[in-house]
Amino acid sequence: LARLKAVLRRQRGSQPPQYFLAGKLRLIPSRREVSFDGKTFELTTCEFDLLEALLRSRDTVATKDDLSLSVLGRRREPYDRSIDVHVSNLRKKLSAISGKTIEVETVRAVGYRLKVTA
Amino acid sequence: MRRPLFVKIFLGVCASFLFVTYFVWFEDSLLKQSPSRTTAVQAQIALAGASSIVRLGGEDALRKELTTWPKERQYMTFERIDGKSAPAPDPVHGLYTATVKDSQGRSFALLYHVTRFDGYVSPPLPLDMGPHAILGTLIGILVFSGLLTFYLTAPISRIRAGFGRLASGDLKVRLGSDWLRRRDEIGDLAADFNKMATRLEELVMSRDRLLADISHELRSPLARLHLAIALARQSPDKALQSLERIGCEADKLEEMVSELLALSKLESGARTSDQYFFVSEIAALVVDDARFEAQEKGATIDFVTNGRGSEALVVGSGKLISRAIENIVRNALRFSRRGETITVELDSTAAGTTLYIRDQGPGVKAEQLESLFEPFVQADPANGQGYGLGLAIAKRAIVAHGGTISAVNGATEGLTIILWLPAAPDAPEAGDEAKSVWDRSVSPAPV
Repeated sequence: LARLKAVLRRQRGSQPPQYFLAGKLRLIPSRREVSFDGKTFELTTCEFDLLEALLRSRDTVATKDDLSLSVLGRRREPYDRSIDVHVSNLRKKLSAISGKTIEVETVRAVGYRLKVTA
Repeated sequence: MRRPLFVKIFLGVCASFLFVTYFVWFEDSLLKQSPSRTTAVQAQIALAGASSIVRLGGEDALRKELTTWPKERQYMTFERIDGKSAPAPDPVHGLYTATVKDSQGRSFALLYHVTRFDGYVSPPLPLDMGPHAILGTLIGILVFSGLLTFYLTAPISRIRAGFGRLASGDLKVRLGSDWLRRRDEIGDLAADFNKMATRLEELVMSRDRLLADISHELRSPLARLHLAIALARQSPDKALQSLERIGCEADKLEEMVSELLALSKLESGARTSDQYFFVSEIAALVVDDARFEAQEKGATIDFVTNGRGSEALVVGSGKLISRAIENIVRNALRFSRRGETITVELDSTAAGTTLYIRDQGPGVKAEQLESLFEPFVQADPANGQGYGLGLAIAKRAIVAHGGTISAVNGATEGLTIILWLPAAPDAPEAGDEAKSVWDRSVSPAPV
């Protein structure tokens, strides 16, 4: 168990990636730039942070509570639908630019996950 | 008195009148002049010359001669007029004519038409209009400009005087009704001034009243505090009981102060946050909470939602809306007795959400319906609970979200509070795409 923890710690401490890739989608946090197939496109601040958080969590489900904390900077109230609204807007933009190859998957009652087809 | 505006407008109007008058007079005197004598003499010479050419050499000779004339002075034309008479001369418009017969007896009309002023017209000398005209014009201009300027600036000074009185604290100042009869922008300005003064007076008065109310409301728990302290001093054996009492009063004071803070925050229009939420979900949470209390009192709360599928998102502060709904429901609960039912009904449309909160309590006198949402107004002060702040806070929270709130008495019993909140303008519509997002399976269970 100690070994495992050490490995995990090393992994966490390792250099964060310069950019995130998902299919043809590339997001560069330091330049706040996101592009699909080489073409950059516009996202609002919230949508960008949301996409980054989704890319960061990779295959694991990003819970709404975590997203609220990391994207909006506040704890989620049970009635708060802000994340859902931003996901919906992001989803529209992504499907428009990527032709449905990159989608935001809803995991019922828990959160969201990025899904890449093709 | 300094009158820069008067002087500016007066001078401007004078100058433009002078300019226009002079220009009109100048044009007019130019137009009145016929082409001068030299033009006429020239025309006669030219016509005489042309006549002799035609008489001696016929029309071909004249045509040839005309081509040698300078291009810019091609004033001469001619035509055959066998038997007819030549056009009449019209010197005012620069037309001179002559008739001539050539050697074969054919007759021609010669027309010499000066089509432009060749510098032969002398422009009038400046001020060459005679002393009477000058004097008359000047007096006319001065009087008319003066009147016009006075008409424009006099109301401004009067409005300024009104502002001065308002600034020095006279909130009762209003501009007279003779102003409001003016159907122009100045009349509108006066009306706006009166509106502003009225609003200011209302605000200042409500602030004064609020302050008085606050001090009054704070005084009674403080008085009870003092009483408890005095009691503890008198009989130390009852100190514990007194302490409890003191704690209770302190709690009350704190609660009231925090309510007041919330109210003043809303009053000053603090920007609401940018949360998105469904009113139905907040209402469900509030109702869940309130049911515990209702159980104790033996009352029940019904929660009905209509058209939930088409409910629109509302943007703002969920906390504030939650508090507003909670205040209203609690208020209803306070006036409900055992066995009575409070109905919370929700109507959703794409444009906004309407929430009805009905109770079966005593209701409110008709004349109190309006003032129910004012701070410290209580329908039944003898009830002894609350400070009359709950509904005031609710109203301000709803208004801060662009919504409306009103109270009506039921047909037979009870009071209904109706609140409406507009849909967030930029929220995604509840279309097919969005539906999966809303994920209705998460019932907002009490946390």
